[in-house]
Amino acid sequence: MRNEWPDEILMTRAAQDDTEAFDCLFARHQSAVFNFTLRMIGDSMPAEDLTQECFLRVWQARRHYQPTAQFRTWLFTIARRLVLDTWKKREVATACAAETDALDGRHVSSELAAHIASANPQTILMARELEQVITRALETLSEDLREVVLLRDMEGMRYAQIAEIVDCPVGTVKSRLNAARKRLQGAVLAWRKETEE
Amino acid sequence: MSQIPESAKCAAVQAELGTYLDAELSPEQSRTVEQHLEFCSACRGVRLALELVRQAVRQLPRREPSAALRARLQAQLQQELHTPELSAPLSPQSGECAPPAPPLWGEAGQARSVLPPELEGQGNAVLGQRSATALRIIYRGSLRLPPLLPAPPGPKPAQTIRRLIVIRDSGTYRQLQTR
Repeated sequence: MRNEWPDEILMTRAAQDDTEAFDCLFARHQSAVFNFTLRMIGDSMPAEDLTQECFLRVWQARRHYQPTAQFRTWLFTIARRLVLDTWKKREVATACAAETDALDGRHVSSELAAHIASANPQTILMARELEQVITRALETLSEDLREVVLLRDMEGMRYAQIAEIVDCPVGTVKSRLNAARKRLQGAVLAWRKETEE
Repeated sequence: MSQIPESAKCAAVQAELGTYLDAELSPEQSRTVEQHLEFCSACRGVRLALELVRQAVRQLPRREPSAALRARLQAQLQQELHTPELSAPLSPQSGECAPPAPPLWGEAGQARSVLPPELEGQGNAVLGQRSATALRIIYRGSLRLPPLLPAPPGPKPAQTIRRLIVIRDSGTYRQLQTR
């Protein structure tokens, strides 16, 4: 039953030291936070540490949570700040190397897995190549461009939510998204040219 | 009334295509884009390319954190539950730490409000090992520690640490981490 409760209700319960409610929130959002931090940081161990730290901070702040604030937006605001802190600590201004280990079937999204299962080997190869192209292109984006793409296209957030998380006007979110997608499109176009040659 | 050149219309529509695909345009703006797309194959091509990129990002494989993460967090929560809360609260609105608390040892009144009586007035000495009752201080954020005790001869700048954890460890206090 708790699994059906909205985040904000669960958080209100967590504020009363209800660890089960908090665990529901964790189960619901850990993957999203982990994947966001992973794509931003590029390494699974620090990403997992950041995910843990993010939820720990939520727990520590549970009594200060206002149900008027959308939980997910707040959660990602914390996650993003932790990512930025990590970037600062690393003193890395540009994209860092992401894990490019071979794809494991368990890690493939169900949608893509279904697509791959029904596709011929050539299509599978193309899909995986495209995925690597996009992954590499994402890594080369500056963090302010990358984060808006991840929040919009991977997490499906609205512009207003993203603006709140990254603390900028909606218009800036829009222009950053356009710029990021142009860069990604450029990478895809270059890849298609290569494959056609 | 002068006609808007087609190229200008295409540029305007293409600038809005991402927002259109994200369903962030008003109904009226969306209709304008759709009407243009009906007869403009060039803009339809741009839309297709954009859709491909959006879809490719959306379908990037998602990885799962290790199962140990949950156990680690739960252990931390239990620890948090059984220790006094002295950490700087997070602001739900901003997602960052609330304005840093005044330096623990910088202002006498502030320091004494969080320390057990036997440690009052010890200033930085609390960072050394002492026997005392249970105390746990977790402070995140920047903490500046100007010396309370008389400064030794010679210049000694205030120490800045980013994180301070003082816990009781087998009856003694120990500074776990400073950065």
